[in-house]
Amino acid sequence: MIIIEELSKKYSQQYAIKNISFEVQNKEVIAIVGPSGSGKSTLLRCINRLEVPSSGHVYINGAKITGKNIGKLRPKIGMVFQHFNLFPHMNVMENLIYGPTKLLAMKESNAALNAKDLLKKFGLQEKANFKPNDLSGGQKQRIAIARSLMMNPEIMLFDEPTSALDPEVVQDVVKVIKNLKNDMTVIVVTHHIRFAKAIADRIIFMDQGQVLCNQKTEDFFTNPKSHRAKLFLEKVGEF
Amino acid sequence: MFDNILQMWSSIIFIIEGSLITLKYSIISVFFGLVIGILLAICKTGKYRFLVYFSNFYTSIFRGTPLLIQLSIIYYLTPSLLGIKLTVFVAGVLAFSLNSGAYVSEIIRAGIEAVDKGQFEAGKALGIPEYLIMKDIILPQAIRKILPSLINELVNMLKESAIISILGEADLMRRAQLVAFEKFDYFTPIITAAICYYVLVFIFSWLAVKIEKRLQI
Repeated sequence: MIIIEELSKKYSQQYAIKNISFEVQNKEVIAIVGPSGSGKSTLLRCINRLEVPSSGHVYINGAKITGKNIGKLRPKIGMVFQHFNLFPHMNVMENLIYGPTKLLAMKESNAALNAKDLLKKFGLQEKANFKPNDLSGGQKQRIAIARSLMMNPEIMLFDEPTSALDPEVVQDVVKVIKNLKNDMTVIVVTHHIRFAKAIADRIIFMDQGQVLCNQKTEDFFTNPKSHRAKLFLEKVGEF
Repeated sequence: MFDNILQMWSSIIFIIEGSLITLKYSIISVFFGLVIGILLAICKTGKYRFLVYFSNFYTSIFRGTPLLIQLSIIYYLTPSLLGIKLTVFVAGVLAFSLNSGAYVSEIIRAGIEAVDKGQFEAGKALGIPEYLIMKDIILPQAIRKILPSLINELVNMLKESAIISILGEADLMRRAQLVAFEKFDYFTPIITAAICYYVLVFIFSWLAVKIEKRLQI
């Protein structure tokens, strides 16, 4: 379980997120939505401490995340970025096995077997020796997801995973993320409202650094608690 | 002209052999310069303020004074300052490496900063310790980006190492001068030395292009 407790992040005088608290149950799928600049990504990045919160805490399975223990916790928290951030000097296979061999002390041959399984599952088995720059955006993003899954995470964080993709390939990536449901806790920050609707158990709507709605997905789309959320849904054509 | 060259053939060979000495100084100095440069660049891009100040100070000193003075200080002043008499070779390599390290550190710092910040974050998010992120993810990409500048530094070193001739080391330049004094002919030996330098630089540039192509991401 993830508990977020009065979390704030301030850049100079401006709050990016302010006093945010909520809980995420194990294996729950949460989508964080909201307009640009609402603090969605900052919130997500505070969970694995890529951003150090100005105040407040995050607890994972009861353990408070601190600067000291985050190094050990991060392998359990996978993260997928908007711009993939694959290591361009390594080929696909090397990207996948780097983490497990260096951090989980897994043998290279075992890691390679796992990697092959994942690639096969994602329909990318013939890309093992390709360099990331020779792949399409959709392929890159699926490899990035596979790289995180190689660490056997309990939690997966997705930061706008489909925003940099061509519309045509978004579905390939969405399908992969949907398949994670029931296997692990998933938190997705997304602009892609239909995707949020299709995948999430619960929606968190943010604006100006604050959580305005924290509702079950059906409720959010039929009866959003905040007027701002209703306006947002109307604008994106989902209400 | 050809008679002249034939007459001086053994002298010309003597000069060409000086290339090995020049190469020895340059390659060893570039290697240590690279090590020093990487360490300084890591300090410069790191979060420890003292190390940032130290590495910037180091760079300003070694960039702000002539190599000839640095070499002279190291060779002539170490006996009185530290009580150690350095050989010409050690003094030369030391001066060249320390000097090159300052320039290389700036090149590498620029390379590290040119690597997308997302690479560092992806490493962190996987839980990779910072020193491994630097070693396995950032530096390999930085070095690829700055390879042409690093080769430039090697080429500069190759040519600047001619300074070692003032301490009597029989490198390319010194040999050319010796032959010139002995034969009262400046043309042939100086041109021979120039050609040798050019050929060495040409070979390194050619190798660099090969390596660059191979390392392309």
